Amino acid sequence: MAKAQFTNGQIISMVAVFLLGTTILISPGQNLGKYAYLSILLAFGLFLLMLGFYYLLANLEPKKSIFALNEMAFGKILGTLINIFYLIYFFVLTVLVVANFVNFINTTILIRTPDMVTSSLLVAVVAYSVRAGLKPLAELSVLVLILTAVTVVSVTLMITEIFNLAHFLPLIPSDWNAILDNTFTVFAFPFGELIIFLGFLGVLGKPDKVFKNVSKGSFLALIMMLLVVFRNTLVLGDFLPMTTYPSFETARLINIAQVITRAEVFIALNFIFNGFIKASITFYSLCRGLKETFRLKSYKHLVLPIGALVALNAHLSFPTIIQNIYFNVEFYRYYAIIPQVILVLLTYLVLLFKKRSAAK
Amino acid sequence: MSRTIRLLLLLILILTGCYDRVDLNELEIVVGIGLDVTEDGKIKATVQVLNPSSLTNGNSDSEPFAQIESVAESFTEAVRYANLYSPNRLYYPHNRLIIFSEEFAKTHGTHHVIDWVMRTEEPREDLFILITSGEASDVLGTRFPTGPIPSFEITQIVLTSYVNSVSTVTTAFNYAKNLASNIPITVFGRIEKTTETNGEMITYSGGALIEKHHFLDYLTETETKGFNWLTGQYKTGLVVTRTKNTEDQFTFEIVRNNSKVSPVLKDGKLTFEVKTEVSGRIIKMKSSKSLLDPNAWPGYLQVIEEGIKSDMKAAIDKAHTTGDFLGLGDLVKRKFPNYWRDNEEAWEKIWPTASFTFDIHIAIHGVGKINRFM
Repeated sequence: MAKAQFTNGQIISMVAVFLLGTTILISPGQNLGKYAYLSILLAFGLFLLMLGFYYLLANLEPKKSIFALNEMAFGKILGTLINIFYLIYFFVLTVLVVANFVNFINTTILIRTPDMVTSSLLVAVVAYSVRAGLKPLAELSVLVLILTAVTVVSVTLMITEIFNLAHFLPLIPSDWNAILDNTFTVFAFPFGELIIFLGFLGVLGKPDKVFKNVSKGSFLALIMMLLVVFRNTLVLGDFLPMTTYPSFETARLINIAQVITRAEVFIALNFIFNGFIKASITFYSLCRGLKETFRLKSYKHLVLPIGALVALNAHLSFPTIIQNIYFNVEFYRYYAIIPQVILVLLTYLVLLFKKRSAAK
Repeated sequence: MSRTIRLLLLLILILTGCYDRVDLNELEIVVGIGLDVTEDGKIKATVQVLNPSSLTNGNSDSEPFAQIESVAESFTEAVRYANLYSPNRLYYPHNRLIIFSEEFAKTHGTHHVIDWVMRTEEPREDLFILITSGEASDVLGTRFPTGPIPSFEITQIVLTSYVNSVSTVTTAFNYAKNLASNIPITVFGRIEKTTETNGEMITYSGGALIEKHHFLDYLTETETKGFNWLTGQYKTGLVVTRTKNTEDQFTFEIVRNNSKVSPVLKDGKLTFEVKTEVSGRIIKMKSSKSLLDPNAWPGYLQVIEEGIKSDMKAAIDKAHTTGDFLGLGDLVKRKFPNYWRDNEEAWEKIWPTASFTFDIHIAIHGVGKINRFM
């Protein structure tokens, strides 16, 4: 079978849709209200720095994934242990994305449907697509990105009537500690999560081409994320931190001449597509990681049992959005910083040291 | 996977959608809610629902709407228990308005109703919230000669109230946003039912002040106009006044306007600048002669300005006695956050000492399609 080729557009779309995945619904830095955009910009700055390190790491061994690089850097035993840590993180991330998806559906659309039904159906579709490989997901991402952009722009245009610029006042925040604290959270979710791509970077192509497109996709996601955050702030003002799903709430307020209303369905559809792509990418990376770490021939037979574990964990660990938010704010950012920053830097430094020593 | 298993899986996906179906004819579509207090202090929720069969069959024997009443200790129970008296499930996404009786707003408070609207998935956040001094159920059940469903007619009255700007339009979302912004007083629209010789009438004018969660006081039409000017919500309306020298009565129709209040802090002293730009036309004058003399127009401008200013002052005077319902604290909080931090606690004592300056520009942009008076 010929190796799948990924076009620039597909990589850009995958990255943008992945970053927008859940943030299209749950605004990053939401509890900061009008200052959320500052946290997003600062977190993006940090992310660009990390992306530089990811690039340097990928360039050391262009065809290898983070799992192979860990083994190269730390040896078989320690490398495997670090890989298992990564695999647990990838698993937790997949569970979080699925839980976000299920919580949203069960809060706003299918109130009386048991969450296990929603999560099982989602995981079944995700597992099916992951079995088919990354290429169909990349192709679908292009369409989803276009749909997302159209939805974001059209919802924004339809709600301009109730924009209130005063919602941004005062422009200069008084509590910079809160902004810096939230920057940390926003970096961990969603920007730092792009580490998932290091699990299958070699599949996408050469590092130069991939990182060029990853940067473009990230900038595209940033622009759309800021547009969503600005729009939600202009509409909701101080009510924003009180809402669970600000974009959904904003779209519910669209009322053009009592005729065009109930536009929130577009936000819901958007989230379902984005959430599906994000869950599939994290799940794909998890399955590939298991295959590499445990030297399996194929990951395909793992898809269903791991999928069942994901659905079960989403149901048990995050039965409501409150547990999800609590976990994100209180634990996730401290936990995620280890694989997203610390271990990556460590792997890079050790590999660099080893390479230089070998060259001498 | 065999074809049979695939087909079965597909059927599971397709057919499970039917298990929890609710057909349209099994729903009672709620279009309005009225909230009153019973004699023993309980909550009476009146839910107005559509009777589609009356509308479609032209069956004049049955009313096109029905009102279901339910009494309970709390609002959520009252709304829920209304289902006990309905053959079908009550369905709220098409609800247009909630009318509170003054008694309800005084004793039970309005916040838990808005909490229900904002929290649950069925009611719309942009539904109108109104207050009446009488029985809310009575207002809700008013028959209109213009249409069969009272809630729809009341909604239209609210939507067209911009023509006079003597009332205010508040949605559940506006109120929720005010509560989130710690704005102490929200102004609700006031609706009253009166019985005249030629039948029942609904008037929608003035406003009602809700201090956080409870009823505080009413606003007159003039005070409401002033409130609309000072909060940028004035749309169109009339200024009926007299010229200074000749005492001729004339009417000015406001077509466009832009009004804004800005706090100014100078040497630690707080003042408020009101800047208003108004454009309109003269639509009634005692004689055509005075209308055709543009040299007399500056005199008209002055009295129009005074008319608008007196509306604004009426609202400010009212705020001095009831509390800051003009959102002045919110303006200061956004423009001078440090000053606000130091003075937030004493705000209700500080702001009444602040003076107001008025900068009102009037432009007469015409006299309409004819230039004589009939």
